[in-house]
Amino acid sequence: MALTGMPTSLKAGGLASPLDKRDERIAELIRQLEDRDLNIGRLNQLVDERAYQLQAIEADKTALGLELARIYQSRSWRLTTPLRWCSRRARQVKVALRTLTRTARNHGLLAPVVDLLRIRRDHGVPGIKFWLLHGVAPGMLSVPVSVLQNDAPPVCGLGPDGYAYRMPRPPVDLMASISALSRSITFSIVVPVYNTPPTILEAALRSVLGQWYPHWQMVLVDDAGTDPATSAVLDGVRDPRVTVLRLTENRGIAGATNAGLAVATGDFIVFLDHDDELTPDCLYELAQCIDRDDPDFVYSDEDKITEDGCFAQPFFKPDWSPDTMMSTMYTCHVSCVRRSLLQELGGLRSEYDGCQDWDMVLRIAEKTTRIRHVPKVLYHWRIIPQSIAADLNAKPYAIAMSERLRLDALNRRGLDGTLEPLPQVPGYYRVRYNVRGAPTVSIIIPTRDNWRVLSACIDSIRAKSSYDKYEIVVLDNGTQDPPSLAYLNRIRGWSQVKVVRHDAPFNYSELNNLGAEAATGDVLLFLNDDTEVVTADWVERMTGYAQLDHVGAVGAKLLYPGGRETQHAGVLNLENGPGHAFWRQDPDAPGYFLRNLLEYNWLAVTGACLMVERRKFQAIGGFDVSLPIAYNDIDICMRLHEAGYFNVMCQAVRLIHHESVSRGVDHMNEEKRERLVRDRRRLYDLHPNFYQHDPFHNPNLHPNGIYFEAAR
Amino acid sequence: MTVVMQGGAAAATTMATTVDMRGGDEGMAAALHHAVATADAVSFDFFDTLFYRIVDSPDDVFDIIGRRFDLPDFRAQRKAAQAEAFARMHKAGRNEISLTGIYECLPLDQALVRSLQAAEYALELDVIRPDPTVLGALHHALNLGKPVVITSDMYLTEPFFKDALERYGVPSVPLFISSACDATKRDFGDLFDLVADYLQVPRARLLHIGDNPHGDIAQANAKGLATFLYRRETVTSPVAPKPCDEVPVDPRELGYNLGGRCAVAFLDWMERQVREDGIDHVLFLARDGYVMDRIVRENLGAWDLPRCSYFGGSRTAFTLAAINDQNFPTYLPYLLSGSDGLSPYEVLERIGVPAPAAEVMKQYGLGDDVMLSPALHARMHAFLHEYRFEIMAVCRRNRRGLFNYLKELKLQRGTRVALVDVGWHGTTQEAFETAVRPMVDVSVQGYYFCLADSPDTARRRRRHAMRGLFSTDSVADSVVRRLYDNRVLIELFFTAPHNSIIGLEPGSAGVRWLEDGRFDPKGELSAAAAAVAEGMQAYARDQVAARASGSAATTDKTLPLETAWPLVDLLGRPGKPVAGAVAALKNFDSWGATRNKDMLLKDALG
Repeated sequence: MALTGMPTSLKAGGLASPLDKRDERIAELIRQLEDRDLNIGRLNQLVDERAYQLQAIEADKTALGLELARIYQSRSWRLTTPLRWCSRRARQVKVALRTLTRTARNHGLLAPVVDLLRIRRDHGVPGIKFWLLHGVAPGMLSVPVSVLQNDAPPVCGLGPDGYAYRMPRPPVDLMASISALSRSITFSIVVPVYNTPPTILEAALRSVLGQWYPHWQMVLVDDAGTDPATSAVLDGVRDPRVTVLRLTENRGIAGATNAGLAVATGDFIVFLDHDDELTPDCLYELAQCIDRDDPDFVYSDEDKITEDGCFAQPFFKPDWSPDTMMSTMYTCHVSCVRRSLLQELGGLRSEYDGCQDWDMVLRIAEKTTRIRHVPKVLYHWRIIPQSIAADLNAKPYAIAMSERLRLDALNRRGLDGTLEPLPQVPGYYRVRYNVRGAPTVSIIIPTRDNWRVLSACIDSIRAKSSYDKYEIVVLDNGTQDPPSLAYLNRIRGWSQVKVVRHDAPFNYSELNNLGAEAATGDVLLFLNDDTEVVTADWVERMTGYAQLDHVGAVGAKLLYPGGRETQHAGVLNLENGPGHAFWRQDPDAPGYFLRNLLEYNWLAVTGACLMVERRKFQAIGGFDVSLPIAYNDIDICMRLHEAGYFNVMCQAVRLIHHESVSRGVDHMNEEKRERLVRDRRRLYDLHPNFYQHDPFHNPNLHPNGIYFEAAR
Repeated sequence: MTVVMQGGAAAATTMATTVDMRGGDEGMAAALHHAVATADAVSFDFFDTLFYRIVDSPDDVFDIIGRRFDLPDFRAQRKAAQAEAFARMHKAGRNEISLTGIYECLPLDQALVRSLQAAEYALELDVIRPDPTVLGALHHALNLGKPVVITSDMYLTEPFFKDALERYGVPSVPLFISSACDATKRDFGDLFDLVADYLQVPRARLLHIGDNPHGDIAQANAKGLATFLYRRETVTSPVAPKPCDEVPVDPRELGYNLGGRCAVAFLDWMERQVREDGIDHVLFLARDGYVMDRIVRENLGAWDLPRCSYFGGSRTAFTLAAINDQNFPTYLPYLLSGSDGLSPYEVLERIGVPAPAAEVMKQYGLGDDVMLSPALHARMHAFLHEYRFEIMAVCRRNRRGLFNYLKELKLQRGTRVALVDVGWHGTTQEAFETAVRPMVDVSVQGYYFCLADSPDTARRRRRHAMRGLFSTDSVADSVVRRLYDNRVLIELFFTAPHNSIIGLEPGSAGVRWLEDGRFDPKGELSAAAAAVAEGMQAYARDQVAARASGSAATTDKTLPLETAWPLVDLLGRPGKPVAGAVAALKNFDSWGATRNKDMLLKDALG
C-alpha cells in the first residue's frame, strides 16, 4: 500500500459518476488547501524564527551599543587612546615575530625570506601583512577573515552557502573515554605528497598533529616532488610519530600511497590528501566507531574548504549503500580501512589513479559487510581549481576511469550490467543490470469498482512494456458496479491476466499476499491500479536490480499526471514519520547529490509500485495484515532491510500515479487522521529501531526535510 | 434468659474469659468456637475484639497526628472537641457523635481541619490489626452458616469499617455502627435491639462477643442476648521510633541510621499505593531510585510490588527528548535556567551537546573567559538558537533512546506506570510524561518521598498524578519545608554511585545510558553515594529479617511516616545535621555546577 494513499477504486466503491468526479475535485481542492496551509505554516514558523533571531540580535546590539557608547564617552577611554594604539602595535609586532620565528624554525633560516617573496608575488603587500599577522597565506585560514576581524557574534564560520562548520571542543572526559575503549586501536595516516604548497601541506600536518586521539602514525610519501619549498616542509617535520618517505621516481597517487602503506604499522589506514585537513576529532570518532562496531571500513561526512578559506558544501551521507556506491563515489572522505584488509586487497590500483579510492571501496565491499558511517564532518576537502572537489569534469580522465572501474566491478562480481550515461547530468553514469534468465514477473494489482482507472493501467502495461514474460494478477476486492464487473469478466479471458476475487473488508496487505499466492512468477511487482507505465523497459530495469542477491524491494519514480511533478522518488523516514522525498519537484532535478536521478539505496519505497523477488518476499512472511491500510509498504521495506537486504530506487523507471485523489480522501477527516497516527505507532512498535531514524538520510540534515534541506 | 453453651460446664449467659494470649491462644480459640457453634447468630464487637490497635491507647493516635502536623496541643484540642461534640449531640437529641462532628468543633483553620480529619481517618486504619483468635471465630461462624454481624460504638462511620475489612481481607458482613444507627450499646443497648430485629433469631440464641463489660456484656445481657467477654492481653509495638540520638558523620552510618529508615518507609508506603493504584510496572528513576531498586532486588518478596526496573534518565534527558524543531524556542528558557555563573560552553556540556571549541565560542562573544549573567542572556539565546540543530540532534537521539527503552521494558498502551523519585516538584515526571505522550499511551503515577509545598508543585499536581510519603496532605507545611530545605542531604540518601543520566542512546546492544561526566573525576561523590547506599541496604536487610522473625524491634509497615520520622526530628535540631567527609562533597547538583566554582554539600544544606 502506498504511504498514505490507496487505489482509488478500492475507496470509491461506485461508478465514476459526475458525483464521484465532483468528490474527486473536492478532494483535490482540499489537498491543495492543506498543502497551502502546510506551506503557510512552515513559512510562518520561519518568519517567527527569524523574528526571534532578529529580536535577540537587536537586543544584544542595543545593549552592546549602549555599553560601547558609555565606554567611548568615558574620560578614561579618551585618555588611554595612545596607550591602546601602542599596545595594539606591540601585539602585532609580537605576532609577526612569532610567524617569522616559526617559519625559520620549521623550514630553515631562509624560509621567511622565501615565503615573504612568494606571498608578495601572489598577494602583494596586504598579503604579507596578512601572513605576518595570521601565520598563513591569505585564503588558508580555517574561518573567514571577516569573522576574525569582527567581534560581532553570530556570523562566524558561515560559508558562502550559509553552512557553518564549528570546530568542536574536546569532551571533558576525553582521556577517560579513550582509556575506556575496549581495544587498542592505532591509525596510520597515509599522505601522498607532490609539490604541495607549503602552507597547504602545513595545514594538513597541523590537522593531524592536533588530533585529540593520540595513537597514530603519519606517513608522508613524497612522490618524487620537484618543489624545494614542499621538500623543505617535509624536512622540517620533527615529530617522531611522522615518517617521511622519499620516492626516487614518481608513482602517482596509488603508487605513492602503496609505498606509504608498506611502512604503515597502524591497525587502520586513514587516507589524507596532501591538500586536505582532518577535523581534530576525526581519529577520536573513528576510534569510538571501531570500538563499538568493529568494522573493516569506516567513512564519514565531509565538507569543503573554499579558496577563500571558508567551509562550505557539506555532504551528509547515508549509511552504507552498496547500490549508491555503484552510482557515485559517495563515501569519499574520510576513508578508514583495516590495514590487514587493505593488504589482502593488494593496496590501491594505479590503473585507476584519480578514482583509486572508489575502486578500493568497491573491492572492500566485496570482501566485507562490516562497513560503518560516522555521521559527522571529520574531513575538510580543499577546493582548488582542477581538483575533483571543485568539479568532477575538471578531470575528464576521472570520468572515463569511473566508468571503467565499475565495469571491472561488475565483471568481478559476475554480474551482467552496463553503464549508462545520466541524461540530465554529464559525467555521471547509472548501472543497468540485465535480467538474469527469463523469469516470469507477476504484476499484482488490487482493485475494486474502478474499471476506468484499472483499464488505463492494464492497457499501459500491455501496450508499453518491452518485457513480455509477465502475468497480471488482478485482486478484485468485491467489485459491485456492473461496468467494473463486466471489465473484469472481459480481462479474465485475456492471456497473461488472472482475476482473483476476494470479497472481504479492505486489507491491502491481505490482498497483496493473496495475489502473491495466486501468482506464478519468481518476481512479484505490486502495483496500484491508478498507475500508468511510462518507461517501456520498466520491468527489465527493475527486475535487474530485484534479482541482485543483496537487493530487497525495488521502487520506481512515480509522477503526477502531466509528468512534470514527482509524486514518489523514494520514501524518507523522518521525524514526523514516513514522507515522500522530492515531492512535487521537477523529476529531472538532480536532488541532493543526484539522489533524484541516480540509483540510491533507500529505507523504503512506495507500495504503489514495488518489486521484490518471491523468495525474499516469502522469507520475510509477506505483507503484515495487521497493517491493513497505511504503512504496510514501509513495514515490508523495513523488514527487508532488517533481514539484511538493501532497498533501491530505480530513478530511470517512470510511471504516472493518479495518487492525488486518494491522498486527498485520506486526509479528509479526523477519523482517518487518527487511524494514520495509530497505524504509524503500530509501524514503530514493530520497528522501534526506525523510530525517527532513517539510515539512508542523515541526522545532520533537517529532521523533516523531504528535500534534504540543510539543518539551519 | 439462659443460653446453655453446649458442653460447657460453665454454662451461663456470660462467659467472662481472660486468657493469656501468648500462652492460651488455643484455649481461647476453642472456647470461642464452642460459643459460636452453640449460637444461632453471632455479633462481633469491632475495636479491641475483632480488631485491636497497635498503640497503647486510642488517644496515642492524637499524639502522632499532633506531631505530624506540628500541633503540640493537639491531643488536648482533639479531646476537647470530642467533648464539645458530645455536648452538641445531647443538645440536638442525638445518640452518637461522628468524626466530622468532632472536627467541626476544632477551632482551627478549615483546610487544616480537613487535613487533620483525613489524617486521623487514615491513621486509625493504619493502627488497627485483626485479632487472629476472634477472626478465627468469625470464619468459624461463617463456615457453620451462621448469620454474623459487626457492631461498634464509634464516631467513625461505616466506610471506615468497610475499608478496614477490605484492607485485611475480612469477609464483608452487615455493620451496625452507632454513628450510622444513632443508637449505641453503651447507653441503653439500643444497638442490640436493632441487631436482634435484623437477625430475627431468638435473642437468647444470639451471641454477642465483646471486650467491654458494660457496653458489650451488661447491656447485651439486659437485652436478652448471650454474651462472651473477650479480653486480649495488651501487646503493642513501639509505634514511635526511637529518635536518632547521635548525628552520624560517616557516610555508611548515615545510610544505616537515617537513610535506611527513609528507604524502608518509602517502600512500605509505596507498597500500599501501588496496590491501590493498580500499578503494572514500577520505575525507580535514576539516580534517586537506585538504592530502592537495590533493596527490592536484594529482598525479593519483602514488599509486594509488581515488576520493578531501575530506570535510566533524568529531567534533563526527558526534557531534551521532548524538544523538536517545532517547539525549540519554548525550551530556550529551560536550557538557560540556572546558568548564571557557568561558562557558556557548560550550558551545552550539561545537556550532553558537544560544544564548539573555545576559539569558536569566542567569536560569538561567549569565550571561556566569560561567565554567564543576565546581561549575557540575550547573546546566549541567540547562540543557542543558531546552534539549535546540533542541540536538536541530541534531543532526537534521546527521544529515540527513550522510545526504544520503553519498548525494551515492554511498556505498552494502557500500562500503568509508577515513576518513583525522591521529590520535590514533579518536574521530572512532567518532563517524562511530555516526552512519552507522543510515543505510547501509558498512565503515569508519580510517587515521591516528599512533595514540596510550592505553587509549581500544586500546578503540576492538578495536571499529573503525584503523591508523596511526605506532603502537605500527610504532614504540616513546616515539616515539608524542613525536609525541602535539607533536600541535598535527602538526595544524598537516594543518589546512586554513578553520574546523572543525561542522555539515552539506542544501539544494537540496547539502549545505552549517557552520563554527565563533567564532575567527580576522582569518584569522591560516587564513593560516598556507594557507602550511603551500602548502609541503607544493610538497614533494610536487618529490617526485613526482623519483620520475618516477628521481632518487637521492627518498624511497622503500615506506619511509614513513623518509620521515617527520626529524619524529621534530626533535621529539626539546630546546626548542620552532617559533617566530615559528607559535608565536604562537591558539586552535588550537576545542573547548576560549574568548573568556575566548587559548590560544597554543606553550603547547600538548609
